[in-house]
Amino acid sequence: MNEHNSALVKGLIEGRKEVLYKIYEELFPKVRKFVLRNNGRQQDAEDLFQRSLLQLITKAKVSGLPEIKSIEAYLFTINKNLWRRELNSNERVTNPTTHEQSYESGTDSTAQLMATASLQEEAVALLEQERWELYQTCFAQLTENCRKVLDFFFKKKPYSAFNEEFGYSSESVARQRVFKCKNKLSKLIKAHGNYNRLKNL
Amino acid sequence: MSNYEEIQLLLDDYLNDRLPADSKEKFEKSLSQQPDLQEELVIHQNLMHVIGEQPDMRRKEMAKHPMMKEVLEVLDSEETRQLRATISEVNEEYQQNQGKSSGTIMRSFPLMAIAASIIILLNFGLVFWQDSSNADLYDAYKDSYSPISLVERSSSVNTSLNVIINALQAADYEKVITSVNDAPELVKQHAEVLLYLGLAYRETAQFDESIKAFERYAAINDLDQSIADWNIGLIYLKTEENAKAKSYFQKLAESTAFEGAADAQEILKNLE
Repeated sequence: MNEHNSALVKGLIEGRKEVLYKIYEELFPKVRKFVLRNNGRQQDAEDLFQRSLLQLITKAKVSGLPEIKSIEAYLFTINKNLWRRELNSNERVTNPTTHEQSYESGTDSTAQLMATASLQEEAVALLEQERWELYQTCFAQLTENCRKVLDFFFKKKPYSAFNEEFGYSSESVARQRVFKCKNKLSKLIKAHGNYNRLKNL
Repeated sequence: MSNYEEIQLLLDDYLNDRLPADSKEKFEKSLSQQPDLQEELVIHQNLMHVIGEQPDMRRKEMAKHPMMKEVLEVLDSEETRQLRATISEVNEEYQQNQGKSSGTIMRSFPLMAIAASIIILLNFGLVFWQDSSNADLYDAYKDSYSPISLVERSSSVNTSLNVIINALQAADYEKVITSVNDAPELVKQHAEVLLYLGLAYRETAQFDESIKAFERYAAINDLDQSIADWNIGLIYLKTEENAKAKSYFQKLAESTAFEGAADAQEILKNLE
């Protein structure tokens, strides 16, 4: 990580306002644009961005600092994953602060339950991100051919498409290639330093 | 076929619900007895989600994972609560400043050397359109559009034009309207004042007049039809007349000459 990124991550974890503001200036417009272009609104972008910052801070506290080259790229990926998760989920997760405020003021007896559910969702989202990073890191270590073969396989392309794309002579050849690549990936995942910690996630 | 291949095929068929009932039962029995197979199943499920972009089959299991407790403790700590509050404050401050900064930038435009964009100038008002459902869409595009630069103005720039630009920068839209309408000769020399007029009308919610001004600009300067169309399209977005907005952005999206064609396409996509 370069000096700039390192300073931003350190400041973020310490909750330094000027650093948080700098991160907003550098990244929020991109996230906002991404959300608006994917069926979201301004409020969604704001909620999402706040959750992504908190996720990175929490991750650093639980698992240590992630190996990242650029905090902007890393945070943007977190935002994309959170938003994808949000779109795939039926219920929107709002910032728990809102629920906590209601709870603290004693105006809403269901607020505590909602705040707890939101925290639970945030925790699950963090674990999903950890798992996603582990799998993506290992996937990136495969050859380009293997990555493409597995991409076809897990996206359920018919074997005829494999033969057309890769020039395999039969379905059996394609299948062997798929399982060879899958075997390699499985070994990489199991050998990853975080695997035992994240096992069964 | 190797043993590994057989197992993988079974795993994939099992997870995709393609096994006949008796084979499924047999497979589940093996699964319950073989931790290695269970491990492979989890990896396969995760790969279906991470690479195949299929729904996450492991989500329910997450809540039971040993790491959950640790993560929840951090998330529910006093320190995190304070961080949440700080992030929320910064968010509020940033969003407020974004609203203010548009005006600041606009005022800081150097009058005698405007190399700024008419489009950007015309779109500053979008920041304040927070009350309509299309407002966010405008806002998303205000910065992404490639600017079309005005001709550099020398210090001998026409005084009446100066007055109009000054008024525009000061957001004195009534003055812009009066000044342009009182100087028909200026329009002949500097057609772009019609764009300023269109903006002023738009900012004062005189949308019909605004459209007329942009149409007049296009009639005089037919090379810039796209600029007029873009701004008329924006008016219809603002007034939530989506069908009309779509017709303008459709034309722009299909234009090979208009450099914002891709943005017009994105707007259309969002209007679907």
